[in-house]
Amino acid sequence: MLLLPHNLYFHIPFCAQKCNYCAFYSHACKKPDWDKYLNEILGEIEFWHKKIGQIEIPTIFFGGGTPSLMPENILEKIISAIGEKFSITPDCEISLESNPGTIDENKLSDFKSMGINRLSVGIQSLDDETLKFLGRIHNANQAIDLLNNAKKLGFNVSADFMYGLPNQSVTDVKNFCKKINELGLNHCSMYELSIEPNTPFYRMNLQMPDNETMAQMYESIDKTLDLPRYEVSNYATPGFECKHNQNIWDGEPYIGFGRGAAGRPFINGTWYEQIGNNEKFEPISARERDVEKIITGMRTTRGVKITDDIDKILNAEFIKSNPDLLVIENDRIKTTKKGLLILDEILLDLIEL
Amino acid sequence: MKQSHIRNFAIVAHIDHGKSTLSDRLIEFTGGLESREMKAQVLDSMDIERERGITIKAQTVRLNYTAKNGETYQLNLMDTPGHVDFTYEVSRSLAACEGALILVDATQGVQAQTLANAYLALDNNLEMLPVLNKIDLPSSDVTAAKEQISDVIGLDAKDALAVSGKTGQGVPELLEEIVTKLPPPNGDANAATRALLVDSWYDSYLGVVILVRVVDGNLKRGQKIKFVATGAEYFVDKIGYFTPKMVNTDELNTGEVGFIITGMKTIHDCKVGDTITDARSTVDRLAGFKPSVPVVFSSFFPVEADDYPNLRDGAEKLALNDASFVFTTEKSSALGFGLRCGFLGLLHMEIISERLSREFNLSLINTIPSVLYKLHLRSGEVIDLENPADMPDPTLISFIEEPWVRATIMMPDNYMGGIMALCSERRGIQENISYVGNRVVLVYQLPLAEIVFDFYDRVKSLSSGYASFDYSVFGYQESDLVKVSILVNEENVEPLSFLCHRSFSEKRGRQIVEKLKDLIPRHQFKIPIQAAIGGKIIARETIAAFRKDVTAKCYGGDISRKRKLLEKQKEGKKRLRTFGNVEIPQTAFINALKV
Repeated sequence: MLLLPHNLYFHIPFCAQKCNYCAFYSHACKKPDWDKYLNEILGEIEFWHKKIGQIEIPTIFFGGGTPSLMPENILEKIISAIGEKFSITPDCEISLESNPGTIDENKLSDFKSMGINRLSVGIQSLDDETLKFLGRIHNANQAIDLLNNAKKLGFNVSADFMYGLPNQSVTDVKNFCKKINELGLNHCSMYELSIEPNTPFYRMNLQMPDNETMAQMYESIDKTLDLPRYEVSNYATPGFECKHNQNIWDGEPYIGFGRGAAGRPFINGTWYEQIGNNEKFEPISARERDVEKIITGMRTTRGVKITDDIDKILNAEFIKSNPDLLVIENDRIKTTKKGLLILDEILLDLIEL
Repeated sequence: MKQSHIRNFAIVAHIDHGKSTLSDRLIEFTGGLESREMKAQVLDSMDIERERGITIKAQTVRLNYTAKNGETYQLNLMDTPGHVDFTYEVSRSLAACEGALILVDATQGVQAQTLANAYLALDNNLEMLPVLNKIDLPSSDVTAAKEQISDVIGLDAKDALAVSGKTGQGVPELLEEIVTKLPPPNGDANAATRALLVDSWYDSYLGVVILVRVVDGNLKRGQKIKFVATGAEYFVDKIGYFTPKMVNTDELNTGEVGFIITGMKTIHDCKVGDTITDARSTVDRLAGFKPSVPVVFSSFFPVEADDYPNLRDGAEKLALNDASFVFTTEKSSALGFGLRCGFLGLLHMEIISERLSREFNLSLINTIPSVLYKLHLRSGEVIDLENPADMPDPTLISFIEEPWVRATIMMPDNYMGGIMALCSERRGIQENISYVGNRVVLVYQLPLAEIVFDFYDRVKSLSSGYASFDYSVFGYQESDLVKVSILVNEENVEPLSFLCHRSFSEKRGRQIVEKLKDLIPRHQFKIPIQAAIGGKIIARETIAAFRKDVTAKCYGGDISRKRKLLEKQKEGKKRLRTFGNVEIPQTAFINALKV
């Protein structure tokens, strides 16, 4: 039986309050039933242990929702169960998403001692008015305090930001990037605000910047931010990229735990489309999985390794005729800067179905 | 039945003035149906008629009425089609009658179609009997309606009967007047058989049913008959009349109206308006009436290319019962296979389109309606042009003629300004204007092409729905027409080209170009969209290149969705039509063509 290392993703579907832009699966509730949640997760860990055995775990990611809401004892039990049932590698990256206003220094320190070594902080904006508009529960200072505390405790720190907001200008985005530079981060994510159905923003009929402005904003981030881009919306000092996400974008196997958490386990030579809490477990073809690898891999600056199977589904004619959009270097295909900007359109022509 | 005891009449009315209800009452009062059957029978057949739309064009009912003088009369009520917009259809019913009831809703007064149809009755030398309906309603104003009939139609309405189709009030008096005031038919019973072919339709059990009015002589079961125009000969298998139930009999005599069934398989074998005679006789043709000619043309394409056989099949089925609906196959580079269709008018087009969608479950793209142009070439040849795509090189054309209509629009006078402005904006020429109280009757000459799309909608909205409108084509006139082509990225997109008057070319060209600008998705390059007459560009817009198209977030949970979306988009991309490297989604054609 071939046992590849699997990355683990845990979804924590609870929030103190839903943000106005968010369409992720999560519930805003005052007192989540953590014991019930824990039992479900422990059951899933047991299930996968039986199904797949004592596999190696190179990365673990606690995402949400708001994982920083989790009580210390709950997180501790989850991490020790993972340690018991699987084999966590010595250099395993264990990330946790956090929201300012949900975690104090003590909890932070406890999380650190449990093995969390990377903290992703949802900041979104450094302007208090904008934070209110987005429906965040914290102000800019609280966010910066959390960053500093996490840095002091030795976390590998990342921050999430949002641009392309209603009425924002390209100059606003440049100034925003300059302020981010002052924070001295080694990793950050810059997300263009996209209006999702079933969110308050969707119903507000907001005046969004036009396509040309969005493109200019995106280009200005690349020019202004000190950190280089390594994925469509992710920037890091080389060596500080998020390993968990890199692995997933490269097409490595992963398992999702918790309701709504997606996974791609690879068992006995077959790929599966999986959703946590036993919601879905269906085989997918190697070809479909290769299409996914191209979809995610092309979003990274290192691109996709052209194996024989990948080569079969790439449109060679299209690659050849669009040197301004696509390049091949050292057996890897990647986009140019111009190409990355219109990747969704490129993928339609690049991939042969 | 003695010829002197036959009365053939039609009821003409504006839409919704209560024609069907009054017909029901006449049937009920004369005992055409038992009162128990009344609802079930009549309403059922009405349902079918509504279902068949315009195709049951001239239902007839034979009523036996015993008058106050004790004598029994045969009343043949020719039902004019439900859609009175079809002047042509009305006129074929009128051709079989000696009299007409001009039915006016006393709550609304004379409307455009009342007038148009009254003129038709006049043209057919019919005796006209004005009748006021809906007098049971409190808002009815019999005096005002009578004045309008006198003033607008020019008919003496002093003694006009007031009835209620709903309650039956006045109906006995009306029956009596039909007998006393309308003339009997005046054919020659001893002459060679001559019958007018009024209408025909296809019945899946009986085959082709032919509606006839015997003018001279008689028609008998088993008789060998001849269709004068086509020369075709058939035996009469069945002969009879409607009560409205089908009743078989042995013969139809001079002046009577009824049906015959021969072995004929499709209605295209018999020409409506033809004369039927005995196979051995040689007779002069009856005056008949003008054959129906399509005046409005549009192409229908299935949204799903696979549906073309279904579209064709559906159109053939509808044409079985509607000889005035004609079509030919069309192949468009943008929209694939479709049908180029000809219609009697806009309503006809809408009905056919709706029936194809509804009954055959098709989703259709209809191109901008066009009219039949007459192209006079320098060579002296005259050709008919109904599809702008077929327009020859302009240098070969000497001049072009287009069809003109006479439009009658009636409305309360406070809306007159807006309607007149609309008419002159559409190249209308005012022919007459008259007032009846606070209502105005406008008569305009207008190019048919100017009313084929949104004219009626505009009339309705400019008058808050109060104006009524009718039109009939009166002839062709020379006009300064040009073909406007639409170019996307320098390439001509033929299905979007259209013919219009030179003075409108720029405005229309600009409208469609502006619309396309929003309908064609951005590409990686700038796309010029132009409207042109020959080599001259008259309007231009540019679709900016899109610069950013990349999903912001794509993590573990987004991957399935992203792959499935890609598969779907790739599928959609296969269906895009490419013009000058520009991929135009079908929705863009649909919406650009929706004017």
